[in-house]
Amino acid sequence: MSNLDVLLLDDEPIVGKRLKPALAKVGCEVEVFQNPVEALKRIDEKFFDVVVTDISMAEVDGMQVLEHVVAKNNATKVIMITGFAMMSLAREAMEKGAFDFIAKPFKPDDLRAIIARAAEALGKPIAFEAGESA
Amino acid sequence: MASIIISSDSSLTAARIAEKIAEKGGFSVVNRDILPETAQKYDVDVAQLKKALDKPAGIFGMPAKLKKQCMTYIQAVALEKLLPDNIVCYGLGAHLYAKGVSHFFKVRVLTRPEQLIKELHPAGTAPENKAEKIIAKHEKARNRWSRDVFKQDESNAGLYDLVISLNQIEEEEAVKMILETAALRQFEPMTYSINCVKEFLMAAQVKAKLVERFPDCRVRVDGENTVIHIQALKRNAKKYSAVAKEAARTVPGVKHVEVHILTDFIGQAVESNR
Amino acid sequence: MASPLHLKQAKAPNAMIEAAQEKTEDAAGQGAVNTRHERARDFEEARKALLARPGFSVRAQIYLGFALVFLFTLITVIGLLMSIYEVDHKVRFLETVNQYLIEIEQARRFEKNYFLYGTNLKDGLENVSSANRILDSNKEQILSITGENVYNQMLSNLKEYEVLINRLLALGDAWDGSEAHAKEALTDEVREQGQNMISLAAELALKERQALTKTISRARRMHIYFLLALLAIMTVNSFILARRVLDRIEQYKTFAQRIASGDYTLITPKRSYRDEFTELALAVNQMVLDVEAREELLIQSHKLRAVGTLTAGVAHELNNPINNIMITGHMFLEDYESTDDEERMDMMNDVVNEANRAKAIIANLLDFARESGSQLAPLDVAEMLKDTIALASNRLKRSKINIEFSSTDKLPRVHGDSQQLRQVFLNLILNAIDASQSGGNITVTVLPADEPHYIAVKVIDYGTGIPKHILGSIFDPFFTTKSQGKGTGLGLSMSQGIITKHGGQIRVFSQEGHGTTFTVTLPVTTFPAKITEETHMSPLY
Repeated sequence: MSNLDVLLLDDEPIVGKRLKPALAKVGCEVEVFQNPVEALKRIDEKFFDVVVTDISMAEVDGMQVLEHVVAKNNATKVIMITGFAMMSLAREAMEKGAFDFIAKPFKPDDLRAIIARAAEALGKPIAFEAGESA
Repeated sequence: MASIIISSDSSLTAARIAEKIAEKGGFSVVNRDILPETAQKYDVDVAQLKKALDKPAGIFGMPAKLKKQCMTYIQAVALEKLLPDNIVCYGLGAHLYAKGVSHFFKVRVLTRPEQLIKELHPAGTAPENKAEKIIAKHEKARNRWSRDVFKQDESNAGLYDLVISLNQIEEEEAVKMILETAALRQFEPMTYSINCVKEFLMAAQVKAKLVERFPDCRVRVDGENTVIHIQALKRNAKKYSAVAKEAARTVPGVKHVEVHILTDFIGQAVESNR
Repeated sequence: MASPLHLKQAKAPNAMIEAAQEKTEDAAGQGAVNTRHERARDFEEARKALLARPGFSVRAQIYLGFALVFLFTLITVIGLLMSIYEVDHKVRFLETVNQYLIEIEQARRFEKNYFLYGTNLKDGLENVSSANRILDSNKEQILSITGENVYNQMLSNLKEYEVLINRLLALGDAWDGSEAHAKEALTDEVREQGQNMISLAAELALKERQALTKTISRARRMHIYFLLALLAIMTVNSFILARRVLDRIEQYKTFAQRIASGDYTLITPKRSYRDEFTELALAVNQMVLDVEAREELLIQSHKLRAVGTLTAGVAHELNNPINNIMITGHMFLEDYESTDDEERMDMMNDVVNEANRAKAIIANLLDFARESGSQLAPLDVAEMLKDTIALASNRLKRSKINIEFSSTDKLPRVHGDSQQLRQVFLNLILNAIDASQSGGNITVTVLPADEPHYIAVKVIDYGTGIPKHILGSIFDPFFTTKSQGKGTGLGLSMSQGIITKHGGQIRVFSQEGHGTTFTVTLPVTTFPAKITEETHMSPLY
């Protein structure tokens, strides 16, 4: 079982700090970024199976990250996380090719479940039984 | 896949279009067939539920309070049926309460006037000047219907993702267009939108428990919190708050309940002037 | 190791916020009640003062004017009636005198005939007795005019004449001898007596005729004087009445203008009496009170609307700390066994810090949304601007607008209501955000104004600018360029009201295509920092 490469981008440091071990536990290789510009640079260098990104960030926002990732490699599953969840934003994200969209606050298991589904879709299932949380 | 909610000025047209969508796109239908189940679950008459869906409340029609109740019960059951995706829903007023869910694709279908007359007028045809009047009257009644519970005008195009007039477009074409649009990526369900439906559903279920006692209550579910707003006089606040909490807890899945009493300003003013 | 310290640090601001909140809320409830009571008391005082004046209503003045005119007319009419009566009396008297004269003259004619031809002197006696009868039957009339002396003289003259004629008759037709001589003498006497009688009567008639003319001309003059006097009375009354009413209307016009400009001083009595306008004053006072209450509501609702546009952002902003707490909490539970104490401490520190962050966000918003009256205090404008910018930071972030804030060091404080001023600044900043394009800049500066003892706050955007033709109306109430339901059109108008109350000014400079600068100037406080007025606020709910 190969590890799933995940890039986690959120300008809130705690998100990365806590989710990195949480995702590592289910077999993800997580790289955490707080600065979207650096994250984009890294995305250009390396292929990630899953990109998890916050939407509202200074300089570059999550939508731009999404567009960048999709333009670079369609296979990457992009999961949007945002505190500003609303219908228009959700539809925009989906239209731009997001894999899923989740509102903050969420539980670590919510994100794990989504990543597990993404891994399934990629054919790289991870060790997490989906469905045990909402 | 998205779920499609059809609204129309003619109930027959909505039904026809929805059935065709279900058939061609492989959707399952949610319609007034849920009424018997609703009636049984909340102990009301099917006839009353139907009336609540069709007629505006009024002095000669249904009492506004009863109508609110019926609509809340329908809402609670309809949202439950809308939980899975790939649904086509019509005839339940869902376009008015299933709002802000990104995978609900809302369509308004406008019938040809001749068609509408055929449905509205017993003779099947009517002289032109009279026809206009009949249609205007029908529209006004619908408008009142959508306003008196949901405070919205259902003929407002802004409520919908797509408005199709059958004046120049064949029904088949319309169905094709609806299916094509519904397949767009932005109407795909996602964790967030599914959560939205779950929250709406739970709110409706809680409200269904409260609506008889508090017809004007507002219920919102946000994650694990259920927030209830009730209008009451200050002196009743504690009692009502407890009653509402108790009732809300009977709904499965409800964890934290928060009751806010909106002070009834007018009542308060009346009291203080005494 | 450093963790306990962390905890303490985290806790301190928390407690501070709590304490601050309790304090303000405490003052709040009381303050609101106080000021409202104060206003009600002012109103009651004004009402009492207004009602205490002696009453003299416009209605009374109108009635009084009419009564005066009526009384005057009555007097004049009575006077005229009297003079008419007098004229009538005199005319009658003249007639009597005339008749008397005719009789006497007739008698004299007989007398003359007798002397010339010796004919029927006896007929003359008849005339004399008729004259006597005339005098007798009109005795009272004559008496009333001539008095007793003249009457008696006339009567005695007549009697004497009669006696003389009788003596003449007794002498018979003798025209010679001593008798003739006596007759001669008697004749002269009769003539003289007749002459006397006529001249007396004629004189009397002449005098009376003159008196009559005088009476008539007096009556004529009376007519003219009456008219003139009536005109004068009515003019004066109308003038007083009109001035009274019009002055009052003028006064109320200024009241209306004053109220319209936002000066809600109650009307207090200025005149020494009470009238219908007192009632109006009471009604206006009541109206002022109501308008004031309503305006407060309006300001509040406008503020809430501004808050509404913010809360959407703030609610979302809250999602970040809450999310951090949620994730940390869940991981804490999940990994409790496998984490060491230090890690756990770190996690809980994060939770506390994030909770504080959430609280600060809410406190900032609540602070702004709280219902307020005027709470005057010396204020640090730069600090206030920073707070306000923090409040709008979400909107700024979402609209991707960069805000630059600069302030001159050691600016003097201004004396004012921090909430109201913050509302103004927030308004201007939100407007600037609306005017800017995504990615644009906004500059907020506070610096000493050009005029001494004033400071200026400038909010500058580099957006589309305000077209010249609407620049004049942007401060008008209900003027808005935002689409329906987006703006109330009250923001700037209310901002202006607030700034004017603070003794400052808002000015706008805009160049189409280059942006807009709003400049708020405020007078700096001249006395040492001291809170002068009781706070007046109440919590929102």
